[in-house]
Amino acid sequence: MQYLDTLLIALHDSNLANNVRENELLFPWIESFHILTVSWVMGSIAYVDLRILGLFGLDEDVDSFNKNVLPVTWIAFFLSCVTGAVLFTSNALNYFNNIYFQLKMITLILIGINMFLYQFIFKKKNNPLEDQSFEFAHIKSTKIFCLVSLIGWFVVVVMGRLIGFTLELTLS
Amino acid sequence: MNNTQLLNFCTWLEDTNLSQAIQVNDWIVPLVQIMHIFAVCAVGTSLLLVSMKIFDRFMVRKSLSHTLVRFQAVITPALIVLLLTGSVLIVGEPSRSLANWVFQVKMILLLSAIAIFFGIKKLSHHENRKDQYAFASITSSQKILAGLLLINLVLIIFAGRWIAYT
Repeated sequence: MQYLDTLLIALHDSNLANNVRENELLFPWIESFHILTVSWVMGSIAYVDLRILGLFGLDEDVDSFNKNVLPVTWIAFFLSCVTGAVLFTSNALNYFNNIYFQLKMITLILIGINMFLYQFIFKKKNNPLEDQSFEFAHIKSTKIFCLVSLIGWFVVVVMGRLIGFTLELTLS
Repeated sequence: MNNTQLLNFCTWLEDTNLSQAIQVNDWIVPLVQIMHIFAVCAVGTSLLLVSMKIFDRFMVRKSLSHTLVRFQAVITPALIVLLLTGSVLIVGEPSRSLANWVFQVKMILLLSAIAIFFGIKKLSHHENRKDQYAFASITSSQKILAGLLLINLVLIIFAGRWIAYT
């Protein structure tokens, strides 16, 4: 834990963190950009999940739908990570000790595990060419993965907003 | 309405029972803001995907009018949620919103975004709505409107956050 505190203090004292804290305009701009990209991540993932769950865009092929929407998700996710990391450095110790920030990070890790299990284990295991019963199992299990993803992102956004109401500000 | 009248109206609104109830309850504003954010996600992403369709990056085999109808089914209820939750937030903190120039700019941008969306829809009016595959080519006017829609969308979300800082 001591190493972690040292790291967080080093982040807090970095030039980047000082600039974000001391410049009145920088934090709101980065935060606005973070909200924009997070809204696109949440929205695009919701569309992909709802499509697979059969609740949206049924006349569009799942693969073609995902092929067009997922690049948006990944670009927005990358940008939200970058902006989120910059915001974090500006007040590293307080963010790290905030319960809602911790829950947000834990949920993001769980979402990552869910996606990893689906993409790299479940999809590879269920090869439609080898398994005749693939289709039913695929649809049923895929829907569970999608539901977990939807709930996870819902929690991430809720926690993200609650951080703003509970974070202690450090001005210097 | 001039500035003094607006501030007087804000003061009156702040003193109403409804406003007082919102101010006193610690959970109403966070809860309503969360609902507002989800509606922003729905509208923001829908408008982004509509713009992508116009720039031929999404639902390429479907007509524009078909895509617009599909996303309007999400945008319309989300706009209603935005209106309702936004109203609660305004009643809770009228001075912070109504009297704030960023909020006023945000409302103008929002109205412009809705007008642009319907402008795009009107321009695709000649397409056969019943046949999702019978699409006409996208015109440069529609592409310009889609670009404006995207810029508007980004500015609305930025303005939403900047209300807190001005």
